[in-house]
Amino acid sequence: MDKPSSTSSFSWRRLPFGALFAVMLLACLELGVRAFYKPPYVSLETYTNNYPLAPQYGFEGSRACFPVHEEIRCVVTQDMNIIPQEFPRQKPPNELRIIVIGASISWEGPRPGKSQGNYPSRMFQQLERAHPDRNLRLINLSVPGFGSTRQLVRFREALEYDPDLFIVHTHDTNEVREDKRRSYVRNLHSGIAGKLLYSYAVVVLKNWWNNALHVAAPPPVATGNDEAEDVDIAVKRERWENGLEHHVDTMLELAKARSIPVILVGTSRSDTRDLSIKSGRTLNGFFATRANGTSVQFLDVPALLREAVKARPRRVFKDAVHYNAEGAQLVAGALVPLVEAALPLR
Amino acid sequence: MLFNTGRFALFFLVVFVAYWLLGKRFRAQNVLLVLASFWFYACWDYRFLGLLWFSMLVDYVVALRIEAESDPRRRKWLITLSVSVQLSILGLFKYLNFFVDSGASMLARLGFGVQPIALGIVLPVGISFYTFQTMSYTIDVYRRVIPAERNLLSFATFVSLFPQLVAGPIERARRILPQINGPRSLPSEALYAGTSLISFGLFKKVFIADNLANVVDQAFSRTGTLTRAEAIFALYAFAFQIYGDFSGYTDIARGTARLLGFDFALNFRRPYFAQNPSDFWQRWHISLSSWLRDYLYIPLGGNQRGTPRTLFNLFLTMLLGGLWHGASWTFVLWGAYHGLLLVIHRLSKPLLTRVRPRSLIGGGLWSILCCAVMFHLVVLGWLPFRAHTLLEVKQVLVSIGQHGGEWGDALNYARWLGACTALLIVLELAEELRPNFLERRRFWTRGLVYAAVLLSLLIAGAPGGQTFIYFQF
Repeated sequence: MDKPSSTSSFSWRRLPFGALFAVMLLACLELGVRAFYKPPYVSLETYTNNYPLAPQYGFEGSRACFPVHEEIRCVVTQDMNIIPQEFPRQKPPNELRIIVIGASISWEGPRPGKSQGNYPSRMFQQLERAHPDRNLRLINLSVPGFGSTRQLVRFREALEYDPDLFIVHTHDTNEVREDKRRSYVRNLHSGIAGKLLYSYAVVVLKNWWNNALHVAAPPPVATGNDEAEDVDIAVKRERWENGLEHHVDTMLELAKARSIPVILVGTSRSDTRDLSIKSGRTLNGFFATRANGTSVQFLDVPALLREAVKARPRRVFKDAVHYNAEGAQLVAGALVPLVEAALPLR
Repeated sequence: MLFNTGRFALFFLVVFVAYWLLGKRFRAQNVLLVLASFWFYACWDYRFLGLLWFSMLVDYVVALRIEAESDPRRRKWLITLSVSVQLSILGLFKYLNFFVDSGASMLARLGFGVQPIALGIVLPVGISFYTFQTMSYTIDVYRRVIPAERNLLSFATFVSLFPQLVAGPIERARRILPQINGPRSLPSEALYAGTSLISFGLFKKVFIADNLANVVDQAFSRTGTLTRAEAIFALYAFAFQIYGDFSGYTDIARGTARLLGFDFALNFRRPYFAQNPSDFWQRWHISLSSWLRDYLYIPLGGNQRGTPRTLFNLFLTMLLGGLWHGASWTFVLWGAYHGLLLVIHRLSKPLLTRVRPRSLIGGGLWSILCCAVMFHLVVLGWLPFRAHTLLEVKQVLVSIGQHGGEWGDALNYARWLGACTALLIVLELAEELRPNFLERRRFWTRGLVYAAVLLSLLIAGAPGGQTFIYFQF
């Protein structure tokens, strides 16, 4: 049995120096890892501001665009079907950079699975023809399947490339997949073990441990999250819409802080319905509320295509949402004056 | 409510704070402990609280009557009553299904087709532990080793103390009751010792046992197709899993008890460094082996009635010890195996003493050899302990016995084994060679070890709060 404490006065020898030293060692390890290890994406804030995520478990584990000497090289990776392209790291004097952030609609051309002839490239050709004396560059960072969460990640990455204009084309059909990811991430970070994944040291060492012992990666979507069938679709839909609006607002704030103009491209479908119905407001309606002179412009695509769709849906669409050559040309043509208004071209 | 869950941590935090807010009022602390222990037990299955109370009240009343009784025959009758009640409870809830099924199967083999009645009896958690604990108390009162406890609250605290209620250590009344019936304190040494025990216990359970459980479960899910190397490494892995699991549980139990001002008995003393079977049982599950020695082996006559009887007593004690673990023929086989090891060791002891080299180096090498042989004998013994059926035992033995064969997943098993046990082996070896090794080191050495233990838990602690193996007993 323990004897009662022999003295009530403080003695420094009684302090648990071993435990304190252990805590200090672990703190040093964390700081050391943070100093030398950079997660493979732009910044941790990308995720912690939105959906806290451990680097090795995220859906954005790898970047598609890498600095190689004086170039930035965008390559297709396993999880990112970005358009392969190269451009100088440092923006040359007098160059005007237009960066497109979007998903399949701004990625795909008239031929299925091919990016040639997409509307941003058609727009760029028209701009080059109209302004042969200006040094213009188009960087299209669209990736098929990306929703607003991952578009925001690309947006932050794109800020490094010193853009003069952003064209943002977000479309709510991809929000479902990303919502599943968010549910997964919430699940991943639940409990004590999940909270530990906020530590870089834990993440790096866990990665090392898992690789050394061939531990299987966690399943892409964990079970037991609120993606279960019994969850009210209206609740989920509202969550997706709130997330999308939040991400678009964040992009606009980031652009505004750097005085970069933004063009929001509206959503559309071949049956002319807008997808987002929230309290009687459409997603395009939301975009319209954010339009603000030349700093934020909105291209009302449904209005642009309505007449054509009424006549014959297949005239401008090759499927439910993607444009055919004529549709892409129409959108490109409508974008040109907006770009000219946003950039000092004249 | 498992020790390795946040729920238990919260429960213990509340109890710990409330407990020490009561200061030196140990009676009030006992009330709190009893209520907390009943709550803890009810979290498993509240239906069996009644059984716990019944078992406790029977021994409380009988022990008082035994003490008051002077007639030896009546005293004997009372102790027989108490032991019979406790063994009946154990027999009904733990062994009835086993005996009914085994009887039916035996009759079927003799040509009598009997359909056993499905009784559907659920095994109450911790029943083997608390019945043995209360039995030791009444037997000690009967032997006049200790006086009967008059205070029901103290006795209830002794029986139901939550750190040891569901899986031991099987404490003795002579050790715990004086602690219950007096004021307790929490000096800084006890605080550090308790925290340290809990941390190392979690390390053993969450890092070693739960990670190795993946390897072992995978191997034992396909005993018919294991390669020789897979079977061997699976057995090694289980040896460390069971040690990590049970000694980890015991460390957490002792640590929590320490933080409540109690000092529980040591239950494990680096058992894989044992040099012979007798040594092993003085290091493994010490509270059970000493219970079996004091209340079964010695009453059977111990080593006082000649060699044949001693050997029989040893074998029977271990056989029943095996059955204590679980109502299954695999546990009977495990007990018989260890009984046989003890018998062989007893018979070969004079020879072993003669051949043991006298020189320092020779003696040391001899110890290492004995240690290695005993370790492998114990590892082999774990096979029936882990297998669900005798067929599985046979299949694994056939796998081990086959010539050559492929490696299969054995390299992966070996990797896991090495990664999970390296730190434990180093620490235990250091402790074996120099007792209290860690306490004698400077703070940075201890800090390094603590950091390594903590980091192991952080990076590779299997989440989810997996149950302890010994909870099924």
